[in-house]
Amino acid sequence: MYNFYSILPEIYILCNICILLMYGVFFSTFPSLGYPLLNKNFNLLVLQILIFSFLLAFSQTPLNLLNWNNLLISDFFTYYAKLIIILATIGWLLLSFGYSIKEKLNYFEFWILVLLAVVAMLFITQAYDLLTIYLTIEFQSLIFYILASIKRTSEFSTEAGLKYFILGAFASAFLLFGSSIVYGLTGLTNLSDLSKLFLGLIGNEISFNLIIGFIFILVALLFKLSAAPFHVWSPDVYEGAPISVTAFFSILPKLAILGLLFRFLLFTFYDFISYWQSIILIAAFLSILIGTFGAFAQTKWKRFLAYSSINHIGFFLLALLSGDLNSISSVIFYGIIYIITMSGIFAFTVNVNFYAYSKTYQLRYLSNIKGLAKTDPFLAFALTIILFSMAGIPPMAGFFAKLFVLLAAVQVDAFGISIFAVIMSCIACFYYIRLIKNIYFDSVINWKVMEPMHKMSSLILGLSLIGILFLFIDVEMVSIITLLMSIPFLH
Amino acid sequence: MLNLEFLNPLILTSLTPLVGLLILFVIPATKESFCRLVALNTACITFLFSLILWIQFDSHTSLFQFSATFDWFPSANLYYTLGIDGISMFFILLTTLLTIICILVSWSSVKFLIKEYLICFLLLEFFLIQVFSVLDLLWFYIFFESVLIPMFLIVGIWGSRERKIRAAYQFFLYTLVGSLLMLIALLTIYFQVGSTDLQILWHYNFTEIKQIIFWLAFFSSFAVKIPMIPFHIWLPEAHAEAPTAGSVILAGILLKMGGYGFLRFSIPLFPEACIYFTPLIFTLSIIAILYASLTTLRQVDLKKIIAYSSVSHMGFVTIGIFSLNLHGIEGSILLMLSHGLVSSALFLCIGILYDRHKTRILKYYSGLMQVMPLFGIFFLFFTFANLGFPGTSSFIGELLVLIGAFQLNRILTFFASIGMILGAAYSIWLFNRISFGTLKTQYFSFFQDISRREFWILLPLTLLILWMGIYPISFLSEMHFSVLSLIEQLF
Amino acid sequence: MYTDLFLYFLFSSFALLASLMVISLSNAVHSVLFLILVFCNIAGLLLLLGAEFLSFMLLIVYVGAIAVLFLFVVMMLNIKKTSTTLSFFFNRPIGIITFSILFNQLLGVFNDFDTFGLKQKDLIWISWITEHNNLTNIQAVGKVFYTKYSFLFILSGLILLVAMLGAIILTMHQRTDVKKQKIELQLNRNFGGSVKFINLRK
Repeated sequence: MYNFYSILPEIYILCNICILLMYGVFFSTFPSLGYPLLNKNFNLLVLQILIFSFLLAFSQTPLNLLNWNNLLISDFFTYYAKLIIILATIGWLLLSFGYSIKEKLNYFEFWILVLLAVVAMLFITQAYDLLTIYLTIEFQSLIFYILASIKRTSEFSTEAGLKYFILGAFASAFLLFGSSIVYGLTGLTNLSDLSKLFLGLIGNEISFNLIIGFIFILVALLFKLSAAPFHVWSPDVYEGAPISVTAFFSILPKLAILGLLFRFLLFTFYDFISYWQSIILIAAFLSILIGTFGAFAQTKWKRFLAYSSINHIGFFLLALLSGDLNSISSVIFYGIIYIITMSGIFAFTVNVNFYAYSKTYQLRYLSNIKGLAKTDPFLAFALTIILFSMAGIPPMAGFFAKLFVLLAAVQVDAFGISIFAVIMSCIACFYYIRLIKNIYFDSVINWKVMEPMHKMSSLILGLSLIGILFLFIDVEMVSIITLLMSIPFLH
Repeated sequence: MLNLEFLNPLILTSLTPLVGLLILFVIPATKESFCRLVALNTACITFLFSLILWIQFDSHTSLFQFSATFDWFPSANLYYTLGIDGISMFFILLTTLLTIICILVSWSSVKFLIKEYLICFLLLEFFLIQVFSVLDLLWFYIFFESVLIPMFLIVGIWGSRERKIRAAYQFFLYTLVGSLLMLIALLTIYFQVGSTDLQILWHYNFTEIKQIIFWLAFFSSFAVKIPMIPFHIWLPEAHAEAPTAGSVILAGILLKMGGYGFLRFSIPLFPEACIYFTPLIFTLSIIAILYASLTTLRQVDLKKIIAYSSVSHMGFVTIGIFSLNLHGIEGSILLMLSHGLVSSALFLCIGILYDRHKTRILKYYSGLMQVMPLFGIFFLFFTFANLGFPGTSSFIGELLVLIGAFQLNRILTFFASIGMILGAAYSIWLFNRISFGTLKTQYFSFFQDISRREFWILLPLTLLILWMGIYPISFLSEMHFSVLSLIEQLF
Repeated sequence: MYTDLFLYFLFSSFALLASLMVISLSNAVHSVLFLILVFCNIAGLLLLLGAEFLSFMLLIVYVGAIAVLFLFVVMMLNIKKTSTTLSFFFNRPIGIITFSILFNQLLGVFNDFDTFGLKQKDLIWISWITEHNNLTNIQAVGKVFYTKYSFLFILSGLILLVAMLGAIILTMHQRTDVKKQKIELQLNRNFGGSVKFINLRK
């Protein structure tokens, strides 16, 4: 009976999806009501559903068991990860309230797809079998392909969705191929069975094909995470998709796929550590390098944020090298800080609209924020704090996140990559400071008139700012949670 | 936190700028005079609390006094400890005094964004007091870095010339790169020892190779801050572009953070490495003294002259620190304090000239003694103090440093004394060119002597310099025991 | 007794013939139709092997989805006749290499060249209990699919829901100028007042 108890939030959201779908279809084609636009209605309903599912997930006790014929797992990590994902989605929802009404994304199915994506991500954190991994990742990716191209009137958006679809389908094919090789050679698909099989196997003869299968799966997971050198899709897709969808891509899936990567690398394939340590090292190195230098040449906000998140993913992978409790805890800590920072910066970019006579236009170019300190000093201050946090300057929360990750890397005597990461951090600091210079030091001849931000997104901006500024007072609050979350990955 | 802990004058000194900051936040920016009044009162109250520190200081012990410990992150064995001893007490006093002077200086010269300017200064004061009073390596690093943010904004926004952005960049990035290498060393130390508490680290013996590597990492950070040749390029740029108050605080306190870092961290933690690298430091210091003095002779910008003379003086300071005997270290501390007062006073004088005539190029000024006699007297006194005239504090400092260096190496002392001659050369030449000679009325037609506010800013500095020069024992006796215990730790 | 052998030859020879027709016809629609014939024959072969679930899956998925997709694309692109001036034996070298590689694979399967199965080396025992009490393929798959792997089944259903939603969101235009029939209104008409007799001249 615990089968249903552990996926109760997902079942609740699924029932609501069905009801909402029928409600949406019936009401939006009602001629006597004048084919109403259900956008705002759905917005608020989805918010309510997410709040209730958060309460549902929060009031559960963290179980520690395998469900559904060992296909799913429920442990400390999934309990807290579910809460974080639902909270992050509520945050995203609040910050994209105004955007979809303004940009006339009138499909009510958009919100249903968002709910389905939340369900998919909740399932990804719980996956415990190669089949489940494939199906849940495919589920989430399919939803993301549709979300990327949801703005039908924009050619850019269609192109982004197409690129994402082709490359993502290819990556899923790699995942499937790797899983079938692993199944073919071992006869097992369950992650814990595989880990028991591999225990001590490395000393003896191990078939090389198993490593090939494993590498295929690893490549597919790194692709989904947009780590270099499999990052090529992310700047184009982030740029083409409408910006609230970009926010969704940036904020939410990283924690879920990271959890999956942990389970995969540190639990199942821990005995292969001598093989995957070098791959993760190269991926981290390239991610930090490409993320830093790629963002230099950018002139548009969305691509800049895409390269910046590639940089952050390099740091995620950096702490994966040692694989012990403190390093996983530092990665999850960094992930939480990353979600808070990205929510803040997207709350800024999604909702800032400039008014040039007779229509408003969106924030697109990096140089659009020149002279922001004169028109809106508090917004400029908030943006400065968030940018300083992304650069890793104390006493912002971003510094502490990088500190713990570097500590984890230093513990394995990986000094070269730590020094490299630190130097790249300095170089990255340069272009963050250039943005701050644009805000404060430059003066423009025509000051831009800004529309006031939507109330909900300013709430998210404020909350993110509080989180970043004052996290250092009580770091334990978050680090106890991350420590709890990383216990299940102990080998 | 019990209620009684708040009576700790160190905590009161630390928190008062924050309280002032919060009050300033809520005052609307249009009430300019009220903002200034609040800031000035906050700075005065902070100064009074720091005077209490001196009054209640027990100079017959070398233990840390007014100490307080907070549980910051107990599960990772990281605590937030505060405490002062003879070395740091005077730096805190200097900080609070200079902040009052800075706020007074910018009473009428800062025209826009006055509220944010005062907030930056109070924040800077808070960070600086914390730098000198924390007893924990990680927190020292955090506050060391955090000082960059308000300083960057001050130089970039309220700076005076067109190259201010480049100067702000240089200042920020130079210091950041140096400090990030220190971060790696810090993490390795934390990983090896298990704690970053200073008093625990003092009793830990590192191996010699590790000491050398850590010392180099710490050196990279402190050497940029002091600044030592060849990392000194940012200082003239930053000084030339910063507003007057920014230069005062930069020269007065920020440079001392490097020297304080050497005294508090490098020498006690890595004694063998210090002895190993002493020839390097001495070479760089001599180059600093001679080269910087010679460069000063070629400058045409008034502020750059004083900036290069700062580099030269700090060369003396590093000789004193690394001579590792009582006279040398006490002389270096006294020289740091005196340089804080003298350089700040010189920058104030130049600021007075800049306020009136809006230029700092030397060729426009001549014969000012005829029209600004009071200013001339103050400037003469500070010039004599700069060159180390007996009766002023820098004479005592340099004398003690040379005595300390003489016990080590006679040739070193010979070259350092040449520095004193060169110091006389540029100081007297500067004064001559500005004050004596004929008035250049083709450039300026209107002259005004110093106002009452400026007089009352310059007078306390004069009296302090005289006090330190005539009766230094009142300062030296406080730091005697702390310096003795520092030296005992080495051998 | 030789029914299964006869059926085996029938299906395999038709499959071979149809596949030859697929590649040699110049009309694209005919090619696709012969492809469908290939699939049907392979489905029959699979039935002979006793894998009835797989054979019907083949029919549903390949014929019902993939071949229909091919037909859609061919008809959308309006390809009538491929006009090629290349002779049939144009790519002889690469064709021979590919053929020999694949034929080599085939040879690896044979133990000896006993295609007709005429040599009876050992007795074939029929275990009548398994013949009687056996689960068919479909029953076996169903037994596991709806119990142990039911979660994956529901998840696949959700993926199909997403695919359907995506197709509708991305492509459906509600056109306002299309005239449609509303059957329910037509059937609910009141026939009483639809025809009226009037006298024109009185």
